[in-house]
Amino acid sequence: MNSNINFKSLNLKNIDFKGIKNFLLNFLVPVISLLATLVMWLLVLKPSYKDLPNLKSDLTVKQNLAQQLDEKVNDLKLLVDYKQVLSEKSLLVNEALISQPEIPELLAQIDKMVKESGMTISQLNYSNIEEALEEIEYSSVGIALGVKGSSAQLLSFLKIVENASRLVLIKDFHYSISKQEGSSEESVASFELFAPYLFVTSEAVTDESIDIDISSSEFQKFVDTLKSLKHYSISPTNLVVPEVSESSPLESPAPTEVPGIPSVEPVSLEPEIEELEAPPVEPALE
Amino acid sequence: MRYDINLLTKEEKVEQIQEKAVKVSSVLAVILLLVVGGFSAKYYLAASDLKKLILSEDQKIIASRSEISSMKSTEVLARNLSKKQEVLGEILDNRPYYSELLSQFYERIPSGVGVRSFSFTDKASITLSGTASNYLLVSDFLKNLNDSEDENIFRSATLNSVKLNSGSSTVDYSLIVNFDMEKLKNEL
Repeated sequence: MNSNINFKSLNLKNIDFKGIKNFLLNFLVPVISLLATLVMWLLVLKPSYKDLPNLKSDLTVKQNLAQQLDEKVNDLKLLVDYKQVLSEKSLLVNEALISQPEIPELLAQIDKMVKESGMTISQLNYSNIEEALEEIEYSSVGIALGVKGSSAQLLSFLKIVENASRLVLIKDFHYSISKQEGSSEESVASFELFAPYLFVTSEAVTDESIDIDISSSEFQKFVDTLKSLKHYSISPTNLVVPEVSESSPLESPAPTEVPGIPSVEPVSLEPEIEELEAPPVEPALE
Repeated sequence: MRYDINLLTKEEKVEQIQEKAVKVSSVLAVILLLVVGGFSAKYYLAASDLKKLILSEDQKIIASRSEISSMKSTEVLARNLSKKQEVLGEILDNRPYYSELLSQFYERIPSGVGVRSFSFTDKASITLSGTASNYLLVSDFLKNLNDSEDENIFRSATLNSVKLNSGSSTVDYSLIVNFDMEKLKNEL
């Protein structure tokens, strides 16, 4: 391909340069104006117009975040002012839902509750620890309990358990009443209990608001509920060395230890709590 | 009649037209320049104002974040409390109060009826057995459990078996009682 241009063939002499020059001189103002308009359009108007929606949404996001953080600062300032109260409420909550299993203390507390109801213990052992699963937000300690006493004492025991500050929930129970010659009516009951516990490790997340409002009526009601529960304080001398049951948490306690308990297969009353295999027992508990 | 006679030469006419074109195009170009300039200034200033506002919000955010960081320990305490409150609330709301069940159950046992055993067959039903002095008392017991009072937590009671003890002339019975688990919740 021949890339050489034959300038002669273009016949440049015939182009009216003077005419072009005159035209440009005549239209100098419109040409400069149009060029300036184009430059302004490309360098100022178009980018500014294009940025506006992004800037607006950016501003909205930042304003919301600033407001959220401002509210959080105010909330935190209030909490700092009432830090003493916050610590007290935390203690109250930690009494109900403790952070560690504390099995000896739990057994001692149950022992106290049984004694307070006037019943006698025929069996008290710790069966297992159910670790927190995704659908269950807390872990729990399983307890098998066998007790003897009257019907009224049994009712009293249930009320005591329900009003104890450390949460002890009844998973299953059955009882039988026997009347022996020369003695009063006696209830023999076996319980499968579980005590929830939850270890919480929160982190300070700067941009997230705090959900708790200690001045709300809802929180006050919650605290009042916890305050109405009775705390069973345990000194080290009261501690009960836990007996570790070989049975699974859903098996009833050994019938030989609780005479008179009907041999009805207990059924879990809390199906949402999944069965777990008993974890290896820590040596300290044995 | 009036006639306009243009006596200008052809070159002069072209020049006239050219002058007109220059004038019109100049005016139009300047107007366009002014309009575009106006809009450019408007949008540039608006964007500039927004940028200033964003900068000021950024400064507020930085200040708030630094203030929040200084109260970190309180935040952790509050978050722990919040999490436990949530879980505890859920437990307390869904906890069945069996004392209420037993209490209502005792109230409905007629005199002359004894309960030998009581156990749960599933989440919301109980199997119980016992002895009564006669069939009528068993019937009374069933009626008491089946009454339609609002406070009654027992939904239904059905007789599973009944048999006469010829030696003691008493009646052995077995019942299945269904109860409303929801009514056992939120007692506190």
